[in-house]
Amino acid sequence: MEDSRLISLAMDNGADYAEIRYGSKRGTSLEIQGNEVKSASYGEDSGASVRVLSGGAWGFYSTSDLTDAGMKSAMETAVKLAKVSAANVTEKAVLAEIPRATGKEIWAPKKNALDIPIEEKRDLLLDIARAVKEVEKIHSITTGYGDNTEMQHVVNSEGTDVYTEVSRTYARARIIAREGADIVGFVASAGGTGGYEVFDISDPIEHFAESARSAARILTASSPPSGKFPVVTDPDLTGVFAHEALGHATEADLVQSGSSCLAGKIEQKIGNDIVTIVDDPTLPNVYGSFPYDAEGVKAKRKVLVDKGVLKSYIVNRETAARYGIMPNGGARAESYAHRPIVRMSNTFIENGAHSFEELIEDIKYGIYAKGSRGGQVDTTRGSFQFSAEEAFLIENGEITKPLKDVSLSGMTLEILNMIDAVGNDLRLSSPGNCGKGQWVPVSDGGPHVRIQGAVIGGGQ
Amino acid sequence: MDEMMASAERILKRAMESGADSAEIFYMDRKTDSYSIEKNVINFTSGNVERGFGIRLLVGPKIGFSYATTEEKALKAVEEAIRLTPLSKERTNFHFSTRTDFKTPDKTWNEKVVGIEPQEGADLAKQMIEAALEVDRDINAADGGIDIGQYHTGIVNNEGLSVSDRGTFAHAGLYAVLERDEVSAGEEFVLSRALDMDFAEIGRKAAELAVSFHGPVKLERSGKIPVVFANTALNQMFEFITVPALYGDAAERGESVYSGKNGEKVADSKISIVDDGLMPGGITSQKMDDEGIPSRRNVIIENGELKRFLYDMASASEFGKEPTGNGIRAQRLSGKNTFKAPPVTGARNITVEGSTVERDKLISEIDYGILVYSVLGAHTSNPASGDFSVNAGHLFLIENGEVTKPLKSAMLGGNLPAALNSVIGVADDYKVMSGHIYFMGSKLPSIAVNGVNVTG
Repeated sequence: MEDSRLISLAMDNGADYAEIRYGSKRGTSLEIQGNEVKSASYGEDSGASVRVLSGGAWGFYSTSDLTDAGMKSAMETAVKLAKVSAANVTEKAVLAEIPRATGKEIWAPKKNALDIPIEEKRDLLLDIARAVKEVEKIHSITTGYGDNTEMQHVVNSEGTDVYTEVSRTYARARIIAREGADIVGFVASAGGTGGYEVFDISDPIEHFAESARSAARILTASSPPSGKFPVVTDPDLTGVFAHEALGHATEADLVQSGSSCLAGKIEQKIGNDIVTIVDDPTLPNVYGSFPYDAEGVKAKRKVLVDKGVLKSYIVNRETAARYGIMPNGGARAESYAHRPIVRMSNTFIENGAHSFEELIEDIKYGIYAKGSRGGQVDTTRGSFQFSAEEAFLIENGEITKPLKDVSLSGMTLEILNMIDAVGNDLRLSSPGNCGKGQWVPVSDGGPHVRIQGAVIGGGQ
Repeated sequence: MDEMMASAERILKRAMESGADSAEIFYMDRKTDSYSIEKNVINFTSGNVERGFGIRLLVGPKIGFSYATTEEKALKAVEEAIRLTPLSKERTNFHFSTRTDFKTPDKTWNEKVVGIEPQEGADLAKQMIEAALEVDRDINAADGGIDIGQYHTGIVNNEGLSVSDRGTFAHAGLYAVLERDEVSAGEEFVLSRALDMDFAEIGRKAAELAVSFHGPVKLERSGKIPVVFANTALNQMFEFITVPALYGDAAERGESVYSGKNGEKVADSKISIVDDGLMPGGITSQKMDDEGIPSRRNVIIENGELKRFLYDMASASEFGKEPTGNGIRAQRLSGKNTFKAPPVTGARNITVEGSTVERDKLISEIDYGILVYSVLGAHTSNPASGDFSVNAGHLFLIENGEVTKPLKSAMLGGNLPAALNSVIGVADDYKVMSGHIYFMGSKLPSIAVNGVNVTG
């Protein structure tokens, strides 16, 4: 059934807005354990969802049945569901105006991963495993490779008709270092948007070998002191901080539901002057980039915090209207089967003025924390916790002994004021996935950053 | 024979005609209706049909896997699976399931779930909101909702296996926020196979928790104090630390804290850890696992002694063990099984058994400690060693045997296997839960342990 007829079907049944989003994702994944392929898989997941607004409320239906009957039934059900919701909503959803978008934007990979023989992909993982195993004390490594091309086609009742294609290619590894009874697990990844050329842009083998050296160092590391200390974070951990501590709280759907500590704080000073935080999905080859969002809105660079002042939330069309913010292309969905919700892309702290040496030279006793084993945030209370992958003690301006299991916690609104120096060595981190009921590819980063006093835990 | 099974048989036939020596077709057809709550209203109602086929085949001793959403695409995807086989490691002892000894678990299908109309579903969600708002006028039923649905799944292979099962599910939860001078939050949820939950009670409990966490004070005494992990917090710790360490694949490779400890005492003799794919009403209970092995009850740790690990077919054949009914098709970062992934090891309904007491009784034995409802950062734990450093965000102080006041967040550091070796007691408040990032079903109690370092 033609898209226009499906849309008309919804509008004739009382919808105020209707949208069809086709999606397909096809790709390869490979997992190697030791020197052997544990699993290799190829597949395509394709389908569509329809979303309608009726009486200020949403109805949504997704299906992998793309036949006329399947799509017609999906649209009819979505309209019915919207009407059920409409009977309940008190604040009606309104969509911010967007320029009508039509056309295609295909981010064609320079080296299409689907044209690369699977043996070459396997050999890359074997080369990574070999380089990692050369590092002393490495016990085992499991590596994974994935490539996929994601197609999205958004058609709506306002005349938007946008087709996009984005490819992503990545490698990841779980490295186990072991000495006697001590055992350390270390996870690393490399890659970005694009085809196989992502591995030309930065050398994955050296990247994983460096991770292996870290894992081995951690074996001999000591537990950190507990308490409040000056902390310098490396670009990877700065990124986790930008994403977890600040980024999530700027997601306007959380603001709207009363789950963000940044509600009502637009144009307020929430951090030190030297802190500028950006979310930018337009960066080439970075893992969290995309051309148009899941509502067919062009992706945009967003300055969330400008010199310490909260400037914007990340919005979808509904929250854009609610908060009077220009739509900034922040609606993303894991797949056709998921509803678009407000998400980050590539989130980072902007460069400051200082070299790494300048950041640490005045610290008498503090912590240099590198990388992240993950993090989590309670956006409502504005509290966060994240664990450094690796850390060192700083004594009298010098990096001294290695530390393990360092975790940082604090309150977003306090810690942004405690950043007292920002480095000049901005770097975006490895591919990541952010979970918020749905998983989407993201990246984050920043320069080295100094925090006057952060709560360190993990000591036993 | 139903439509999906008939399609699976045709795909199987195509696989065998295309050069596979052996093949297995898995299918999943899952339908979910969702009623989402945001800020005191049901603002989003949705439906989802997830349907597809997973193709696993052998050419010689080598395995290939592919998947597709329709029969037509799956017939083509057979070629892709065959194309991948040369890469595979040789699995000389690997054969698809020929088992026939399936038992059907109780309470996995409920007609009431199937018949629910959109308006009825919305009305049930509304009951949660209204009950929450009755607790305190400043409560915001910020987030939550109901997922109701049914699935039908099956496996056929060229060895003659043809097994299918179906089930219903109903998940309801509410995250309530109280904003008055400061912000506090509480969460309550129920996962079931039937529509047997008290929706108003869920809303009320979430709101009451938010109220009780209001006005937290700082923990004054840091150090190693008794910690009561409420069932919800224990579930978070189990998902990322204990459960992955009980998988044979990790254990046999020396990547688990329990590696090589079969027959040894690894936990307090007060507890046993059991995984049961046939648990009545269990969230993942089903006749078979996702590769056609009969579901069963596996005692992993019995009175503190390590008895066995869990295996899917591939890891079982690799290490010369018997598959335990734990072959689950789960993707990384997904708590649900799917046709899109080849089987890996997954816990079905993991539980802790032992002599239990009421939670209040357990708490009454603690002079000074904490009761933790949830932690942030359990996924950052070191799965290989069991070491963790997490931030407890929702917790209470225990003084002289009583829960006295809510606490500001505290850091908890320690080693979970060590803590499970120093159990003070097990409560009887079993709760059915699931994994957040990894596939896992669970039914866990609150547990009081020693040896965790707490920093306020």
